[in-house]
Amino acid sequence: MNRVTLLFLESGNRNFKKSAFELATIGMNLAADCRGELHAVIMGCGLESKLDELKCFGISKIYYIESAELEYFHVHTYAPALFTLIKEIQPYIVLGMSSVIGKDLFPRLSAMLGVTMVSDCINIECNNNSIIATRPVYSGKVFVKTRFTKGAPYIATLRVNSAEINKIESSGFEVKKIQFIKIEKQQGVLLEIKEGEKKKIGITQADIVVSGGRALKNSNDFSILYEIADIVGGAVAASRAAVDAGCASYDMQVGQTGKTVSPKLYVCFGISGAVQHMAGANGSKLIVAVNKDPDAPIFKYADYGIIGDVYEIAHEIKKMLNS
Amino acid sequence: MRIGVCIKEVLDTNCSIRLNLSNNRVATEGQKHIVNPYDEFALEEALRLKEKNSDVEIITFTIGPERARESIYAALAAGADNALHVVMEDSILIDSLGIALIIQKLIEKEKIDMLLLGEQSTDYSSHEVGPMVAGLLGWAQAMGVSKLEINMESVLVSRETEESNIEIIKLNKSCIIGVTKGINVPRYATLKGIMSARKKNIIRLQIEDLGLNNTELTGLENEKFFYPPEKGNCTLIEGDPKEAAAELVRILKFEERLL
Repeated sequence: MNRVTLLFLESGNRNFKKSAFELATIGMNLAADCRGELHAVIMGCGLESKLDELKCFGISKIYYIESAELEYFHVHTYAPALFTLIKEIQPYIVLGMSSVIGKDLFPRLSAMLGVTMVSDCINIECNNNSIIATRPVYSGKVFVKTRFTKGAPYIATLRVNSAEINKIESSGFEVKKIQFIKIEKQQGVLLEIKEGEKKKIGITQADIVVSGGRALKNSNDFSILYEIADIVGGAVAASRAAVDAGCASYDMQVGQTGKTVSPKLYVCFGISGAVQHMAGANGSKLIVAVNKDPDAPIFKYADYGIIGDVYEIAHEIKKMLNS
Repeated sequence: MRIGVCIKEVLDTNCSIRLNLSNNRVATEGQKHIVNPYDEFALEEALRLKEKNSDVEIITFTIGPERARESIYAALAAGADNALHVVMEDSILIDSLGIALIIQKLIEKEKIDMLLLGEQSTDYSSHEVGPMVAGLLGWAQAMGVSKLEINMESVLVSRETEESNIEIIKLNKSCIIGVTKGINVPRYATLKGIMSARKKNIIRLQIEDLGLNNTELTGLENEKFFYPPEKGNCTLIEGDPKEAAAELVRILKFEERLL
């Protein structure tokens, strides 16, 4: 029996997203565990010249569904096509990312296929014919290892920014182009995409995130964070308290009822470190905390800390970065 | 128009998580439970639709033990018309697909036109149930919805993408809408609402009444829960603001090599 691990690799603006290479690394290891092949499906347009970027992950076959209709992701366009492909090739495992796209697509797909799934995993392994996924739950207070108990396909999505990208020696793959057949009556249609107010890196994509809490009393104080972020090429985020106080917009909120970020560096100013905030930030590789209060819970999570006046220290940091 | 709203009861986020002896379950006995805040947004959105259109009837769906009645009464007090309670002990193993199967049956049984629910629940944060129900029914779906409008033939929603852009999407009227925070601010129940809630009928069901049995409810088994490893000590950087800032930048540039 050929156990194929099928990866859904995300793209946008005619380029693979960074998560595609993270997922390829994860898929490479899992396919080896299963002693099976690694395949990938790509949906979009204008990606043919980019396929070579996928050569160092042991992928042996790529299904490329190309159409102008697929340039922007929309679940009612993508799901039927992906469902048809999976029914035809019958993979053992299907992996995606638990991104905005993945959260739209994979649960719908699983239900259409009549199988369960596990979302937002930080690890997935094949152990003696059992597929076991590990994921954080309850705001990251606890992790759970879950085993699939019924038949294939086994579907899981991986947490963004939770894996290093690792390449092996370059090897070729077969590319199979699949014709996109649009359904006549789609359940939904994407009418318009309005660009966000500021052209900024999304906080969930950024390698460095500079985050502010309620100690930065107004949006003027937040401007120092924007200045620091500009110098280091990072994105600015905020705690719920700062958003509720009107210092920052909701799309900047990190935490249980906001976004989950896992940058290489998370620097937080005046954030107390409540469980609900850390639920969105504790996947960060390195955490630096600046806070006036030596007893603030944030120092339990931080790797480096400075106790002192948040505003003053932020200004000094900006000066040091500029020199 | 019959609008279904999912009301899930979850552990209060301030609770510390305790495990059973075998570490394969989270202990919920004696812990404080609340209505999933995201479901509160969904209910509020349904109540606003009802204010605009008196033809709207709101029916809540809850799956859980007897304890969940408190959450159901809260929803009725806020203004929901009817409630269905699929009674199920915490000990029964069920995954998102199992939940979705139950909700699918409830939607069909109650001839629901549209389902509103939170895009996630604060305990497992799987973001799975909404799209799974849509997939089972073959209905339209939209998740992370921050704005909702219903007109004669269709439903119009706004939601945010990964790149912080806003998508405007048109959906068929039979749809599953997963709302996010920021769509509205839920109202407080009035005293009148609280009093009349206790007089409203909660219809109780078992999964067998829906033609389902326990084996269909899950395809997963939790082998082990474990706590994240304790973080190592935080290195505090000493000195006045200027010295501390200089030392931090030095560490990040030359030791951690992140800048």
